[in-house]
Formats: sequence, structure tokens, C-alpha cells
Amino acid sequence: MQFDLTMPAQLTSALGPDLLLMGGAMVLLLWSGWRRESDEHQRSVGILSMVLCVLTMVAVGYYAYRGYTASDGVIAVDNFRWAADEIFLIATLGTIAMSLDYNRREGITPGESHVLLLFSTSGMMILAAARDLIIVFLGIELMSIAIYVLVGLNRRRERSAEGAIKYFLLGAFSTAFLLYGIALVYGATGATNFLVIKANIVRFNLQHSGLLLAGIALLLVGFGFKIAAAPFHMWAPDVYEGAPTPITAYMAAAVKAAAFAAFFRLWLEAFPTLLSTWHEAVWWLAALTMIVGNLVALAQRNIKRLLAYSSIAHAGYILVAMVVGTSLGSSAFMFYLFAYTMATLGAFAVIVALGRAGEDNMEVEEYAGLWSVRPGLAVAMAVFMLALLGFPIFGGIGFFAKWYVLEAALKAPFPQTRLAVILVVTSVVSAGYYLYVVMVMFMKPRSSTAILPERAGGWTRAVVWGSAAIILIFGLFPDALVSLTQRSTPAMSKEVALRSR
Amino acid sequence: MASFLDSIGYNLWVLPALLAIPLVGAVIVLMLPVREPAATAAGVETPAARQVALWLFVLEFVVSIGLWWSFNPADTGWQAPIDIGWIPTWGVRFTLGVDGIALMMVLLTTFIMPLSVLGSWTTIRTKVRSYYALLLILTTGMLGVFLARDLFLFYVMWEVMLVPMYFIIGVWGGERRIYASLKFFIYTMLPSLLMLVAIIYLGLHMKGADGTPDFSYDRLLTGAVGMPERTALWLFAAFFLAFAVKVPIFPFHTWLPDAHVEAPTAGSVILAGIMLKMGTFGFLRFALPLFPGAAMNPTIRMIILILALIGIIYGALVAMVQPDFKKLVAYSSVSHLGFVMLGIFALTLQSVQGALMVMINHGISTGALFLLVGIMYERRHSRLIDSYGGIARVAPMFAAILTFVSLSSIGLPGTNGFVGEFLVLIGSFRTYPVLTIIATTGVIFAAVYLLWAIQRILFNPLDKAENEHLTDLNKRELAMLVPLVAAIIWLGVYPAPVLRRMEGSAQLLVNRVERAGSLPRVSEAGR
Amino acid sequence: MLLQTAVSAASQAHPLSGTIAEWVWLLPILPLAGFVINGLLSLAGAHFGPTDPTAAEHEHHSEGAADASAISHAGHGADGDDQHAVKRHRWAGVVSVVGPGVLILSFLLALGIWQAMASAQPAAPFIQRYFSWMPVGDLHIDAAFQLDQLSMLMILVITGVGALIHVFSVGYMRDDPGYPRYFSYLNLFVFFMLVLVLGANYPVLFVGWEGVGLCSYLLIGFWFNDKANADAGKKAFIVNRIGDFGLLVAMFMLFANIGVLDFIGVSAKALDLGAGSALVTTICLFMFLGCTGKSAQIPLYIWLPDAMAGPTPVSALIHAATMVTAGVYLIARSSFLFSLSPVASLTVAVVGAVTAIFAATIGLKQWDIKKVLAYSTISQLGYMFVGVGVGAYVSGMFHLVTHAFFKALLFLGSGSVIHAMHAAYHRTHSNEDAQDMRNMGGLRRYLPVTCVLMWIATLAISGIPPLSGFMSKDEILGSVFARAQGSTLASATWLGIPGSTLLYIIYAIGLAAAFLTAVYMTRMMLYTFHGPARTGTEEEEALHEAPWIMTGPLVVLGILTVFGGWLNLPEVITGIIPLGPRELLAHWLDPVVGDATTRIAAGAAQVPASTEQALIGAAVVIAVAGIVFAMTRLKPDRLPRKRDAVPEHGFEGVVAHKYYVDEGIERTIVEPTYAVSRSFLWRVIDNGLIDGFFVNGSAALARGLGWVGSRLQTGNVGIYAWVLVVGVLVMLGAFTLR
Repeated sequence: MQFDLTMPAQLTSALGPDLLLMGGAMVLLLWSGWRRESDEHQRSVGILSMVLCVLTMVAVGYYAYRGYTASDGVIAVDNFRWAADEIFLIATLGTIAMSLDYNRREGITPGESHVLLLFSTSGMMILAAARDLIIVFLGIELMSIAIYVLVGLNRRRERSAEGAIKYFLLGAFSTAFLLYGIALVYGATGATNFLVIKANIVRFNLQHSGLLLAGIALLLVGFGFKIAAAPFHMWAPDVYEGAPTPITAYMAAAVKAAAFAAFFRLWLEAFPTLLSTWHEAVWWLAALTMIVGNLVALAQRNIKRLLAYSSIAHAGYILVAMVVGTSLGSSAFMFYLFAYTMATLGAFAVIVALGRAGEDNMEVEEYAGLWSVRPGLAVAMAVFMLALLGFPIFGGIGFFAKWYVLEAALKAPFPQTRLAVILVVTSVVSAGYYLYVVMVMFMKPRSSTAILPERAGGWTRAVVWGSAAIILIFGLFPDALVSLTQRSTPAMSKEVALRSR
Repeated sequence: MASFLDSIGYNLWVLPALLAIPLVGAVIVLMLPVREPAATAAGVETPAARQVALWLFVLEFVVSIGLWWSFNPADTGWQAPIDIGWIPTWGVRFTLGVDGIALMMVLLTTFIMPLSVLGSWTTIRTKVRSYYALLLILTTGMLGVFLARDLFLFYVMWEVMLVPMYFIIGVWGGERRIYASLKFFIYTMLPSLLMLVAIIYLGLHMKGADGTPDFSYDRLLTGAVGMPERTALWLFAAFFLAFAVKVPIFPFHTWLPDAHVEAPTAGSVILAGIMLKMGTFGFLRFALPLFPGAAMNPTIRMIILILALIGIIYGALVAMVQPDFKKLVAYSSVSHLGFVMLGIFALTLQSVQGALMVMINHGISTGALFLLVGIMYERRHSRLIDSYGGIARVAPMFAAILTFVSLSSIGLPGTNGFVGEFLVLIGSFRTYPVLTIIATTGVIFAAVYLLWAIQRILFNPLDKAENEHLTDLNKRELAMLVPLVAAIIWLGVYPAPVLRRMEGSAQLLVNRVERAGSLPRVSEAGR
Repeated sequence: MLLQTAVSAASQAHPLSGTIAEWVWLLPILPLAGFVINGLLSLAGAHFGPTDPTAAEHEHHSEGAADASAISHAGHGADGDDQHAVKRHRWAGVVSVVGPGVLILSFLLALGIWQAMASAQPAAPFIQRYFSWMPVGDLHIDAAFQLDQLSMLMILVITGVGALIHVFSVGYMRDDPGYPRYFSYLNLFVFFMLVLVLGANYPVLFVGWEGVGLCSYLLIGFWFNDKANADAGKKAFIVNRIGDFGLLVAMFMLFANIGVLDFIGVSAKALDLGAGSALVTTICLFMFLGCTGKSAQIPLYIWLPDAMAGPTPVSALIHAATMVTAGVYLIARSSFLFSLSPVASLTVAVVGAVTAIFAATIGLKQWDIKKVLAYSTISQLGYMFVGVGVGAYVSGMFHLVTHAFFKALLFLGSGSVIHAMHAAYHRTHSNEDAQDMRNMGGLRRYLPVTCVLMWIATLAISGIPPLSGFMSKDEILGSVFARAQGSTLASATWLGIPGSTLLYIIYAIGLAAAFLTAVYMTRMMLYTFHGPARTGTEEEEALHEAPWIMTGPLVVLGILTVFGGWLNLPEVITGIIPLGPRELLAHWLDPVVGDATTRIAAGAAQVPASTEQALIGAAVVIAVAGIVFAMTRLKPDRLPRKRDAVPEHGFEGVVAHKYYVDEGIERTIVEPTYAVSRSFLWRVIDNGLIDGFFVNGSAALARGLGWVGSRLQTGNVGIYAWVLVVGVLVMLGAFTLR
């Protein structure tokens, strides 16, 4: 069935899953405010939020299964959107699950925190769907504002508040650039719809329009900030460290994925004809991000900061898939996003599981000898680290993700061999810190004064083992996932594949 | 024997079984009930794990040994082939097969593994289940490398080896185990990933009609030959680096002394005995046949040969001055593997067969040496040569076996060591006489460093009070050394059955590389 | 199974097939079995420990003292009246039967085969192929034995002399704690030696070649508790390896050029290498490098004097009678190659001659009785090389055989002396050197049989007719003279020197060396057996002749020394005195080396009988002069004891220090190699450059950059904003300014 997006009813139908989530979230918000703040209430809101997430996932799956398409319009109805939505929802699900335990331990009682996550996620879903710059902006704001609050959720921790303020200030700053970029692009092309922009660029021969190019540059800055690509990444470590750990996980996994999804669609649908123009900038962005992220991560001793830099580095790897600009690149992008999300989620879940109230134990060294006291968590963490490292079998799909990106890079119309080599070499550098974590857990003796971590909550353990299982099982049989991602390319990006410089 | 094997369909299931037994075994070992050291007589945590592991490895060996008879030396193609789809969307297949080269490597692996379990018997006391599970998984990885007929599968197996060994060194290793294990990991990972890029490039180069890449070795073999020279050179360089580090070729060898020294006994045995062969095996299986033009490029060939020569002599000289016996043995590997490289790149039938023999011999002899070092260390907690002296008086059996194994490592005729080195050298002399003469001096250096070392350990006055009550080999130690000694004699006296089984594949390789290497090159401009 | 595969088409047609010669494989297998049995007994005995606890204590005590003296274990209370309890190995009885027994069986079998061979008179070698050893493509190396007249001769010497020495060892070594180990090594040695001479191709020969080196290593270092002994063993092995390197390269060259390595094949294709070509010369020279190692010729002779650290019977068997002659055997075996290259042959002769005189001068100044014999051996081996070098292969082999007799006799005799000396010192708990001649003197009174027999051997080695040494040495010198008159050698040039001139010089050197030989041998006898006793009165009571099991073999060797010359009586002697059939050995060896001898002697003029007689006369005069010179000049009664001795100065000192060759090698080669390896290759290149700079350096660089990057992360939002702005500007610039 094809939705006619000019008809409001059909537009609403096309936004069905998004509206389901948003509407549900509003109901939950009301219910959450209905009763006094308490841990029990927080948990019940959380569980209902998870149910809502699952329902939305089913809805998304149904839409995907029915193979709906849409006419050109403000939103896209394609597999790219559905795949991205599922990733966001999985990440949200995992985040809420670990929040349940985390909030109890930290004494965070407002159930609204889960609802805010849902709102943020609905913003992401809109981002994944957006085919209009205005919708993009809408999605970004919807997503970000909730995050600003969530980062500062733990009022009792100074760091949390500091992170929230930093994120807000810099986020506002960069959103300004994004908005300015939108304005310039509109000014140059007279359109905000991706497809119209593309058509107008060709029609009015705007390949060398300074206005348009400046606009694109500013858009790149805006997205670069959201995905934490170097040199726009400076906020990320501080915010990741300050935010409550589940929120950090959410930012590292879902927020990044959403920004990428919008970024990817915009670039491939609106500016494919300018590939030769933006290609080089994105190339450098990718290279710089990989190098900076991995090198600086080496110097980190705080596990959250370490993973923050790791997530920066992964933004670089994903950018490689973008540089390629082909449908293969797009499915590699989606595959990578999935693998990365699962590994990040799992890793943060382990951190949550090992945390103590007050989050004062985030030094990697405190995991020394973990293997002898919490062997399961240690092994799971090793799996996540190896997955992030991109190691086959033991790192499950992490390897296939890198493989796919490399394959896309090498198969591009102008093969990105050099970028592939940078990717590979920086991956080796990343072994320096991923293995550091593994080494501390397995090879260092447990100090006699170390406190035995409490047994983790069931939800957190579920996230740990769920993501580990997904990573390992798909790590042996990735074919189903590969064929899914192969179908999940933006509807319009195929022509880019055939263009070369 | 062959008909019996046929009757049980041996060839249909042997290869997957070889990969599956250790994996299933690892799970079994991990599921054994935990028993704390205090509860056991031997002071070893969960002692059942080592027994189960031992029997699993014995089973693995018994299963693999049938290949000796089922293998048809006249058939140079893949034997006992397996071909199952794995990731169809990427054109990756789970294909296994064995040829003359892989056959011997597989048998070497399954032969060494049970012995390495015996070598770990009492030294591994903590986390015993995990240790043996890792050994089992490692075995799958190693066998997978030898058996893979698909480059993707090969790469996966290649990397799979890395993690268990990383843990084995890092968890159960010596004092500097953390440094050594990380160095080992990163040192080998970097070039491996570059090789990964090359593999993907190759697979894309060979893409089939429907656009999916093709990583099948057999197809690449025919397809890669027509590649432009420059591309082939780059790809060869990536493969070369990956294999050169594993071999290791000078100057990529510095991970080896650290890893070998810090690893627990079984780790060193496996590293030296089997994993070093991955590199040279890689040259034989992949680097040479896939890029004959690049490999046979006179300049590149000369550079590699000279590096091999440096390895032979440099490794020996540096080995000579090591105060630590384990490190000495480690450096001696550099020297021995230099012979292998010489043999491979001299590319005559004799030299290649010789290289294969040296690979097998080195596995056996150096494996035995590391086991002996382990035995020493277990008793005295020192690997320094100077801590010993004159112990032949108190441990004559140990002395006899150490002397014998050293002689095999030196290449005394009548032992396995001679057959390999002799064939390498006599073959290489045909193509590179001057280099071969220089390499032959390595024979002298080997005698210098090993005899000097064993003199300072076994002979000279028994002047240290701690050594006066050293116990000689016990039954378990004899049980792990006697098979090695028997293999040393067998391969030294009657290697013909082994040589015959390898000859077809070696001949095919030499012909293929020579023919393809002499084809006129397609230049970049002419493309 | 061995026998089934052994039957090949070629051997069936051979006159020896079906005879006892088919059992040739048993020759080496017997000693191998001995090795296995004795070896296992050795390990088993050691494992279960001494049977008598007090004996263990005794062992402890005496071995502690033993470290002071190299040879303390030998003769450890060989006699019954020793007041100490003797700790014999618990399996000593079995070993005493098995050890020599296998050798005697082997010798008997060898005699049987010899009988068969003598009656069959085969013209072609009898090849027995057992299995394929290294079949690779066009390389075919079989585990095969070749039985021909040359190997037969060697077999008889090895098993015959070997059996005698084994028997002697029973007496000499019986009380050593390592008795079974000793016999296992000795048996193993004989096994390898037989493989060496039986091998039908170079690689199989090489198995024996290195194998005997191994046994030499093990036996030299038999009393490994003393560092000097262990060092000597190692030195022997390594120096031999240098030679083996040459032999290996020679094999490679043969295979690369003619594609075969078996003796028959090489001899058939040798001419393809080109007579006199540089190629064949190179091959021969590399092969000769191997010979210099094994047979202790310049420059690789340095290991042999040190090898005297082993038990004396070992010196007799390995370092005098058999192993060290392997080089001579190899050249005779490869006569089809050497005869093609006059240059290589002359090199062999020159090196032999120089070694002969060089070692003889050192022999003049040695005090250790075994060292004298060691240098004497080197010198005599030089003679043999002169013989095979000038293409007189029969003469060389002849000298090899007679030398085996008289040198074995000398060594065993010295063993008997040392045995007595040692027993004496052991009794008084003295730490004096039992091998130093300055501590001996006057021993003829206590060891009359040994004294007489050793005098016979001394006269033989000095060249006094009609003893065996005279016959063989004279034949070599005669051949040199004859070749100088005209032959392929005489017409060749060697480093610019005309061949005939060179041969005359070699002849002169040979005579000079003969003179020196007579001098130093007489010196040894005088100091050992004559003059006053320097042992000390208490010790004198304990000095006595060795038991019959040791003197018996001496007597047999004495008989062989006297009559060994009959093996190959030259025409010039039989022409004058009809002592017996002439040139038996030459006829025997003719099928093997005849062609090569003829080829090398092509164009040789017949030396007139009168000249030959004059040469013989000259040689005898020189030998007698040497003996007389030594007798008149040396004053055994004025010799101070070892502890009172003053060091020699000047040239005498240089000679006494063996021309400082060992020290020179130590300083110029060994030490620099170690120093460079340790401080440059290992520390600088390996640890410093590769590992330190490149490997850890790049890791440190990455970490350093990471650290710098993390410093930028100050937590100050203002800075972050500025970085962001800079990024924006760069991005804008990149997009718009292009």
C-alpha cells in the first residue's frame, strides 16, 4: 500500500508507530504524575514504558512487514526508517530496563524519567522518518530537550547537573548552526523537502552556490555535534561521565543512532549530486573522528569516559560507511548501528550492574579481578569489548559490522582504501583500551580491600545477557540480519551508487 | 584401514568433527562442577577438567589420525571436502578440505595438544576449567585455519586463535604476562586487519555474476592471477605482513620472546609448536599461490630471502646470549623459521618439502624443549640457565631427553631436524646457491647456542645446593615426552611416508607459482 | 621386513648376494642394540639409585674431590686392595657382557663377510637398499649400505680394534658410576662409525659422520661434572660442525649439478663436472673442509687435543683409531672426485703436510702424556692426507690401518699408565696430575709389559723397519716422491707454485716431521718409563701393571703393530727380502680406488728401484737420528716434578702454549661474536631499536597523543565552544573556499 502523504489521514497513518509511542507516552506521563513518587511507582511506570516500547516495535514490524510505501512528502515510509526505529526502540527498551535497577539504587524516584525517554525516542523516530528539514529540526529538538533533562536527572550529583548544563549550552549552540544551515539551504534552493532540494540543485545548477555550500557545511556541523564527531565531540566525554549511566548508554546508543539516521537520509536524499563536494569533508571528519576518539580513549581510566571516547571513535567508523554513499554503505551503516547499539548497551548495563550508589566507582581499575567474583559479568563485558573492537566469534557481530563497513568502503565507486586502512589501524589502537578493560578484569588480582559488588538487578542482567546473546548468536549466523539491512536502505539512495567523481 | 574408514563414511564427517569436538568439549569442561583447590588432593582446582580435556584431545587425535590412511597422496585436490552455505548474502561459505600440506599440520596439531595438556597438568591450579576450555577453543581455531577453503572463514579462524592465547598468556602467564599478552595481541592484530582489507578487496575483485563477493579459495586461485601488478603487490604486502609477524620474520619477531617466555608451558608449546606455523602455512596456502607475480618478483623475493637469512643467523646469535633458557628457545624459533622461509621462497620441490618438514619438526622439537623448560621451572621456579648446572647427575632421564631433543633441534642426522634442514638447503641451493651457503652456517650457530646452554644446565659441576635434590622425570612427564622422542626418531629415520603425502601438494604449489610467476604481467597502464 | 625390501634387482646379480654379506645390516644393528640395552640400564640404574646406601655416601665424598682433577673417576679403585668401598653400578655385570659382546659379535660377522668377499672378489660394490629415506621429486636418498673392499677394510678395523678397546674398557671403566652410560655411548659410536663407512650415499655417510661427532661429544664430556671436560666436548662438536658445513655444501653442489648423491651415481657422473674444472675443485675443497674438521687438520685441528679430556679408551678408539680417520676415508671414498681436481688434491696434501709438521712441533713440548699422543695423532693424520692428497689412496688407507694399530696401542698403554698412576694417587689422596709426565718416570719397573709394548709402538710410529708404521709411512713418502716426478699433480700449479716443486717440498716436510715424530715419541717414553720415579715413595707401592683384561688387548695390538706392515709390502722390499706377498692391500682396494689412482698418476715415471731404496734408507736414517737425538739430549733424571716446574720462555714457551692458537681464536672470533651478539644485536637492535623504538615507541606515541588530547578536555565549556567555532570556520572554509 502506498500512503498519499498529501492527505492528512494518510499522513497520520504513515506516522502510526510514532504516534502510538507519543500518545502512549503522554498517557504514561499522566499516570506517572497521578501517584506519589516512589520506587514502586517508578518501576511500574518503567515496566509500562517497556510494554509500550514493545507494542511500538510490533507496530513498526507490522508496517515493515506490510511493505508500506509513500508518495514523496515530508516523511519517508521505507525500510530504512523501520530498521532505524527498531534500533532506537531496542536501545530504549534496554535503557529503561537498566534504569529500573539504577534508579532504585540511586534513589531516583520520578517515574517521569522513563516517560521522558519515550518522548525522546519518539523524536528519534520522527528523525528517522523526516524527509523535510523542518521535520528534522522538530525531531532533533524533541529528542534533545528530553535528554537535557535526563542528563541532569540525578540532582544529588554535582557532575550530573554539570553535564546537563554543558550539554544544554553546547547543544543550543550547535542547534543554532543547524538551524542556520537549514535557513541557508532553504535560501539557496527554495525548499526544505529533501527531494525537492535535490531536484532544485540540479534544475538551478546550484553545485557551486556558496550559499548552499555554506548551508551544507553548517548542517554538517550540527549533525557532527549530535553524533559527536571530532572536532565537535568535546562535550561528549563530560556529559557521558556526568549523566546517569543508563542515560549515558541511551545517548551513546540511541541518540547517536538517530542523529546518524537523519544525517544519512538527508545527505543521501538531498545532496547526492554534491557527493564530490561533501565527500572530502566527511572523509576528513571520519578520519579525524576515528583518530581522535581512539587515541584519546587510550588515556582514559574512567570507564564511562573511556566508552565515551569509544563511541566517538565508532562515529568515525560509521562515517566511513557514509563517505561511501552507496546502498551497500547504507546497509553497512544500518548493520553497524545495530551491532554498535547492542554492544554499547550491554557494556553500560555491565557498568550499571557493577556500580555502587553514588557512582563513585567508575575507575576501570576497580574491576580488577572481577573474573574471580563475578565471572559472568566479566565474560559478558569481555564480549562487549571484543564486539566493540570488532573481533570475530568472541566479539560476535562486532566483527561483521566492521567487515561490512570495510566491504562497503572497498566496493565504492571510488574505493576508500585509504580510509579503510585508517579504520583498520585505529581499530588496532582501540585494542589498547578495550583490552585494558579485559585485562583488568581477568588478569589483575582482586585487591583484598575491594568491596564485592552487589548482585545486579534482574532487569540489568537481562539487558547484559540479552545483548550478549544477540551479539554472539548473530555473530555466528549474521545472514538474517544482513539481508534485513540490505533491504533497509533509504528509498532514494540507489542512484548515488552509480555516480562517480 | 582405508576400507574400514570408507565403510564408516570417515571422509564425510571427519573435518567438521575435528572442529566440533573441541568446541563441544569446551562446553563440557566449563560445565563440570567447581571444586575448590582445598577439596582436592592435588591442590588443583577442579581436577576433573584436565582429565576430561586430556581425553577429549586424545579423542581428537584418534579421530584425526584416520586422515593418515584416508588421505590419497596421488590426489592433489581437496580431500574430505565440506561445503555448506554460511552467509550467502556475502558470498561466504563454510568450506573445509585437506590437502597434503594441511594434513600434516592438522596431525601435528592434534598430536601436540594432548601433550600440552599433560604439560599443564600440575602447573595450572586456578581457573582450571576455563584454561582447558580455552585450549579446546584454540584447537578449533588452529584446525580451522589449516582446513579453511574460504578466505573469510580462514580469517575468522585466524583471529579466533588470538583470544584464547591472549587469555592463556595473560591469565596463567609469568610475571610480565600482561605486557606480553597485550603485545602479542596487538602485534598480530594490526597486520591481520590489513590482511582483512586485502581479503575483502580480493573477494570483491572476484565477485560473482549476481554481484556478491566470492571468497572461495579455489575461485580466487584462478581469478587472482590476472590482477594488475600494482594491486597484486599491495595485496601481497598485506598478506605478507600478517604472515611475517606470525612466522615471525626478522624484524617482526619481538613479540615472540616475550609471549613465549611469559606464556605457561602449554602456551609456549602451542605457540611455538603450532601457531608459528600459521605464518608459513599462510605463505604456502595464500600469499604465494594467490599472488605468484608479486611473490616471485625478483626484488621482493630477494628481500624476503635476505630477511629469512638474517632471521637464521640473527636469531641464533641472539639466542646464544640469552640468560633465560626459555627465551633462548624462543629466539631459536626465529632461526628455525628462517629456514622455513628460505625453503618456501627458494621454491623448489625439495626446499618446499623441506620447509614443511622443518615446520613439523620445529613443532615437535621446540614443543618438547618448552615442555622440558616447564619441567625445570616447575621444580626450581627459575628459567635462568645460571640457576642450574650439573643436573644430569641428579636427573639423568631429564638430561638424556633434553640432550636428545636439543640434538634434534640442532639438526643431527638421524633425527627429524636434519631431514627438514637438509631438504630446505639442498633445494634452495638449486635456485639461490650463495644465500644457501650462508644459511648453512646457521647449522653451526645452532650447535653453539644449544650445546652451550645444555652444558650449563645439565653438565658442569653440580654447584648449587638447591639442585642437589631435583627429582627426575615422573611418569606423567615421561608419558608426554616419549611420544615426542619417538616422533623425532621416526621422522628422522623414516620420513618417506610423510614426504610422500606432502609431495603432491608441494609439487602443485611449486608448479602453480612458477608458472604464474613467469607470466607476462599486466601493467597498470595497460589495463 | 628389512631383508625383503633389501632384495633388489641389482643385488641379486651381485656375486655377494645370497652370501653372508646379506647380513651386513646386522653389523651396525648389533652395537645399536648394545647402545639401547646399556642406555636403558644406565637410566634404570640411576633412577633406582645406588643399592648400597654407604656406597652413595662414598660417591658423594669422592666426587666432591673429583672436581679438582679432570680424571679422578677413571680407575677409581680399580684394584681389589683399595681400602675404600667401591661403588659399582648395579648393572655393571650385565654391561660388561653386553658392551664388548656386541662388538665381538660384530667383528666375527665382519670376518665372515670378509671371507665371503675375499672368495667372491666382486668388482662392483654390493649395494643393499633398505628403504627410501628422503624421496622428494628428483632427489632420491635411500637408506642403503654399500659393501665394497674399502668399507670392508674399515669395518674390520672398526670392529676389530673397537672390540679390543671395548674389552680394555671393561677393566678401565668398571668402577665408574657411569659405567653403563659409558658403554652405551661407546656402542653407539661404533654403530655410527659403521654407518659412516657402510653408507651408500653421502647423506647416509653424513648420518654416521655427525653421529660419531655426537658420540665423541658425549664421551669427551663423559665426566661432565668438570667444566673443562664439558667444554672440550662442546668444542669438539662445534668445530666438527664447521667442517660438516663444508660437507653439506659439497653435497648441495653435487646434487645441484649432477642430481645424484649416491657413490655409484656420483662416480658415474663425476666426469660431467669437468675434469679439473673450478666446480669440481670447489666441491672437493668444501668436502675437504669437512675432512679437516673430522680428522683434525689445520685449521680445524684445535678440538682434538682438548678431546683428551675423555676416558683414555675413548681417545684410543675415537680420537686415534677410527673416527678421526673418517676424513681420510671420505677422500678415498670420493677418489673419483678428488682425482679430477689436481688443485684440490694438492691442497689436501699441502694441508696434510703442514699439519704433520705443525702438530709434531707442538708435540715436542707437551707434558700431558695424552696430549703428546693427541698431537702425534694430528701429525699422523697429516701423513694420511698427504697420501690421499697425492692420489696414493692405498698408501693413505694403509697408514690409516697401521696407525689404528699402533696409536690404539699407545693410547691404551698410556691408559694403563694413567690407571696405575691414578690408583697410586688415589691411595694417598693426592691431588697430583696423574697424566703429567713430570710426575711419572721409571715406570718400566712397575709396568714392564706396558713399557715393552709401548716401545714397540713408538718404534713403529717413528718409522723403524720392519714395523707397520715404517711400511705405511714410507709408502706415503715414496708416493709423494714418485708423483713429483711426473703426474697430473706435478703438471698442475697450486697458488702459482708448480705442482712438482710443491710435491718435493711436501716430501721434505714429511721427512722433517718424521724426524720430529721420533724425537717427541722417544721423549715421551723416556720421561714416562725411564729415569727415576717422580711419583713419591708412598705412591710407588701402589703402582702395578693393569689386570689381564687390559693388558690382553695391548698384547694383541702389539702383535698387529709388528706385523701390520705385511698387509701391503712394497715391491722394493719384497724385491730384496721375500717377507711375504706384496701389495695385498693395493690389490684388495684396486676395484674401489684403482681408477682414480691411475687417473691422478697419469704420466708418472717409474721411480728406479735404486732411488726407492735410497729414499727408504734416508727415512730410516732420519727416524734413527730422531731417536738418538732425543736419547742424548733429554735427561729424564734431571726433570723436576710438575709442581716444581718453571714455565718455558721464548719460542719454547710459544710452542708449549700451542702457538697460542686457542687463545687467538678465543680473542678474535669467539669473544667478539658473543660481545656483538649480546651488546649490539640483542640489546641495541632487538631491545632498543625494534622493540624499544618501533614497537613500544609507537605504543608510547599513541598513548602520548592520547594524553595530549585528553589534556585539551579541561571541562571548561568556553573552550569547548571555541573549539566548536573553529571547527565551524574550518568547515565553512572547506566548503566555500574551493
